[in-house]
Amino acid sequence: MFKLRYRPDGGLTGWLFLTPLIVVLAVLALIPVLYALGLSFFDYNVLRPQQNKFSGLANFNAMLQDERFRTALFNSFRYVVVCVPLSVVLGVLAALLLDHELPGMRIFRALAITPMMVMPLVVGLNFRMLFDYQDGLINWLLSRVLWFERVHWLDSPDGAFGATVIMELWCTIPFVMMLTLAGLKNLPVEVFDAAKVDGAGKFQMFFRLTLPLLMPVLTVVILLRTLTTFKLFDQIYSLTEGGPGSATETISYYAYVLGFKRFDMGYAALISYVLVFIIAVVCLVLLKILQAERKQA
Amino acid sequence: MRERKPASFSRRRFLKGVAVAGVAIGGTGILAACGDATATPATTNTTSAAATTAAATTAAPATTAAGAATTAAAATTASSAATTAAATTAAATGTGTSLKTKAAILDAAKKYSGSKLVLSVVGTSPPLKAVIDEWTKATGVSLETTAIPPNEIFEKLTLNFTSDAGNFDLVSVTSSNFGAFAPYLTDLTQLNTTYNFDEVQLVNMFKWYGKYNGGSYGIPYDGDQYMLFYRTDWLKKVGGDPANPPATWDDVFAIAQKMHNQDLDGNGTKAIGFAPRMSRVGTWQFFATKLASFGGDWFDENWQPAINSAAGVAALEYAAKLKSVGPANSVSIGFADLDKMFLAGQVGFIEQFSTTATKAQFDKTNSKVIDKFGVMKLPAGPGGSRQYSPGGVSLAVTKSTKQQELAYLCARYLACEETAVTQAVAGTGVEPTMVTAYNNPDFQAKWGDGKTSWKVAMDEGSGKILKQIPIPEFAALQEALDLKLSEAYSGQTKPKDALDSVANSWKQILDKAGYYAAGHAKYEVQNKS
Repeated sequence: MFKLRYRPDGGLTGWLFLTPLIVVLAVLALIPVLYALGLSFFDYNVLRPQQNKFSGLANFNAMLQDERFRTALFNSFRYVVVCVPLSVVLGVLAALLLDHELPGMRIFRALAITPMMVMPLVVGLNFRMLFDYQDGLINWLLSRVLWFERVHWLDSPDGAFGATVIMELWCTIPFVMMLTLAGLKNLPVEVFDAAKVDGAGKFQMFFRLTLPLLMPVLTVVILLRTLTTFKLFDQIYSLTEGGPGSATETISYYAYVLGFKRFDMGYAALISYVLVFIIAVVCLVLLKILQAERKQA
Repeated sequence: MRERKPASFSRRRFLKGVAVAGVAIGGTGILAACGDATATPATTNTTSAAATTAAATTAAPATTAAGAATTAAAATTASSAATTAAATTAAATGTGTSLKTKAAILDAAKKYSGSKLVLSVVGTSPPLKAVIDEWTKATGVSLETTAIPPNEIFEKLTLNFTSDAGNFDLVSVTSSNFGAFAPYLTDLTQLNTTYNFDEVQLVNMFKWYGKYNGGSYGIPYDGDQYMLFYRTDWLKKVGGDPANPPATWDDVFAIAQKMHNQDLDGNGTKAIGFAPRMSRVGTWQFFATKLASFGGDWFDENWQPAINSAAGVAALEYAAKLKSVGPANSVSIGFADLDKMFLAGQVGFIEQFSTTATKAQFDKTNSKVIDKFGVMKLPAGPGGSRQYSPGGVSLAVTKSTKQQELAYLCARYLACEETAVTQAVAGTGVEPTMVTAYNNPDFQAKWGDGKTSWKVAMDEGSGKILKQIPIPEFAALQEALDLKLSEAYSGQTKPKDALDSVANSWKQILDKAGYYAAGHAKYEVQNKS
């Protein structure tokens, strides 16, 4: 009798079953990725198709001398360094708060993940109004309720950076919270019961048990947050458009400007590849560190 | 007139398709790296011929051979051939059909009854529904409009054209973008001859609209010009004479200083002297008005950037100085904020498009400055009185359309004097481009402040100008300028350093595009006395 069985050692039937998926992946992922890689070696401007030509490493040379690229790179790293730890810490704290079976907690949990359901562009437009110097709610609260000076949120470099960080945190804390909460729900109860019997305090239990047991989840969370923060675009596009000046321009935003404002596709492709490379390296390093932490825990 | 080949397999077309798809996919890859797609969806509105009353059909007599034909395609083909023949004859004899009135244009388009046109429009100022309905009713041709947000027009049309989508017959194009789009547009020179398009009637400031490399690719539709708006009551309170507003930028600054932070309305609210447009996207327009009157130019004749000349630096220093008499958040003030602030009665001076006057004087719901403001042409600087022509919009017929003549007639209808007056007085933001419209008494009474705005517009529009340059790289130059101006305004860099950096970026952009190669056409210097 004919047995239809997938054999990873190269069985033809298995490959036949995998073929549709491989074709779809090739068309949707591999070809564009390779095409973009090829494009980065070309002087390719959509506005002047007749002048497009192979330029070797010219785009790479241009990138090395591009001050704007360096600023955008610095800004991207700045967002990662500030946003990722803050969102993870605040997200974990929120998850711990919501990890109690109290009346109405389900409603709270549902409300807490609302920011994830709103389009970043819409969020950006709303935050733009909230951060308005004159009429914004945030400055109104600061000046009328807390008696602080109004903050130049969107018209000073530091203010704009702060505003984008706040908005990014508002958007992403629920994501961290949700994954952490799922992790908390799956922690083995017996271990905590045993610790209680042994007289462990709440802080001890959190730092000695909860956190180490959550490390697999947190590893994923930190990696995903790092990756998405490097790609930060929507929030910048809708809130500050990279400004004032280049204060909030990230690599992704710069790639967008190059690709869809200047239509310099070759250079934009290279910048995008550099971003992918940086993300890969940073994530690998992070993964190594986090794995070491896990082993230690 | 180029006819498209019938849809058959062509290796060249196939390869072109693959290449464009590849670029699109590559672009998608970039966007994917950037996060979610961000483009605002374009909105579509159709006024169908069928939807209009039966009277519309009656009003569009199918008397021509094309109209009698049963299908729109047949009508198009027949009339296209007729147009080509007519155009050839007209070009040869130097005579043409006069389309001086709206009625004549509508009459000429009636032979296409039953056809449909698709028009892309600037999202913030689409044609009035009444204007579209009138066209449909009178000609029997339905007109579908797709509104594209103004800050996305360049990207969307570029992608539309380069991907050979061919879904527009008529497009609204910002005048500085004709260099980029000319390969995808019909040169209207012959149709202009056939239908006697009288360019002499255009206001001087708008005569460059739609022109590129000796071709004429657009019918000027929306004539943009900046004016200086000032509060007449406040000017009086600080010792000025509303009948003689400040004539130079230095005078403007001195008076704005006197107004700034004063309680000029007696209600405890501090006045803002001058509201500058310094938000990153589009701030180059605010700088360009100063560059013009300070005697600057974009380039020298060899395309070497002249933006960082002494005149350019002085212009930027002056523009940045206005921040001191502006609102606390000057650096984030954008185009829409200016109207809001002026209509709310918060500011002494703004520099804005002429449309604002119509809103300020006739919008009784939102305006607190009715009869309390004046308009004047932008003041003179060290370079004398020289105005900046910010581009405006022209209507262009795509190369891919099979209804070139019909699309052309529709463009003429939308841009003709009567339609222009109707749209301008309704406050749509679409301003006339023709002298005849500005001389129309109805227009003079209902447009702008209803008093002197039309005179100011004519005066400003007929003098010396600094225009944008309709080269394909203009959008890239503009983006690079915006960035550095924003840095200068927000104190991240000094004006001279900012403009030097802009000059470097511009050189790189133009060098890549081959402007410094031997034999490249020279730049037409604009600041020659």
